[in-house]
Amino acid sequence: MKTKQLCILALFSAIALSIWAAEGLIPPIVPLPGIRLGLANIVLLLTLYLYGRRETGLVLAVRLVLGAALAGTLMSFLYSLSGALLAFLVMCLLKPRVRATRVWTLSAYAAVAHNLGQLLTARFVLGTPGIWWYLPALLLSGILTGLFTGFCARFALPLLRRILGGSRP
Amino acid sequence: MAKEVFPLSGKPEFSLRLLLGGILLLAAVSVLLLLYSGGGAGTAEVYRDGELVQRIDLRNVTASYTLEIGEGNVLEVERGRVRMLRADCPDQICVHESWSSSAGKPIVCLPNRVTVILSGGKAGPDGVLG
Repeated sequence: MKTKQLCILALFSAIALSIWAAEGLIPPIVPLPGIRLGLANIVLLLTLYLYGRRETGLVLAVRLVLGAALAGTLMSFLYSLSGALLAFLVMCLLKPRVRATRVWTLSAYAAVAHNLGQLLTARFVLGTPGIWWYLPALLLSGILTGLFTGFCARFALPLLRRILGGSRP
Repeated sequence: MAKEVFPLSGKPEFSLRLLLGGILLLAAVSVLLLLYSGGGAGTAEVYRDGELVQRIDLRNVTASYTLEIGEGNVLEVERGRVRMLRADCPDQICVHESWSSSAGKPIVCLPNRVTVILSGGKAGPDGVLG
């Protein structure tokens, strides 16, 4: 890994962590557990399309571990871990099939996967099947928030490509 | 490879968007159905760590009262509805969920692993939940 790339990935991790922490301060718009805008995901999408899967995994890992260490509890780490891993898996699967200009499609799928992962974890942690009631709401919010973050990434990508032009691997 | 995974049409991106639209539509319809078809609640079941701690018959409640669940949560019970009055977690999502009165709609406190599930009036507690 070149020094410049290392610097930029570190910068991206820091940005993702700050966005994630700042978002946690905003009171929830919809009072249902698990519904979140997921703005930090914009950084992951950018990393995925600017660099690749391995680099995205690194940024995600740094964000998860530092996020849990700074602001989380063991429970919240468990939820964010399961959601993030499933979303990352979906991102890696769909990346070769989705062009950069359609990144919002991928983002919506990743957000849905994230919410599904969290709901699955919640199902086993809480031990009550009744929480499947939240599934449609989580699917809907996953698609809408995923589309939003996806559009943000889609418009930021060309700008970043221009700025970081020389650093592509 | 791509076509085998998403066989809806020749172009994988198009199929992906089609599938996404389908999920969106399905989810939106389900949300509306869940919100407007629940019916009134008859019983409330309080679970902690997956174990049933209390079953409340909401039709026989005459005056509202509060119920402590473990150390962290306080539930307020009224005739036909419940809400989480207090929780000691930082996110307060279960408190913001406010009153729940329709069958099926749970109140969940993720940090304290507490669930309150409402079920229908006539059927037994197993009648509503799948």
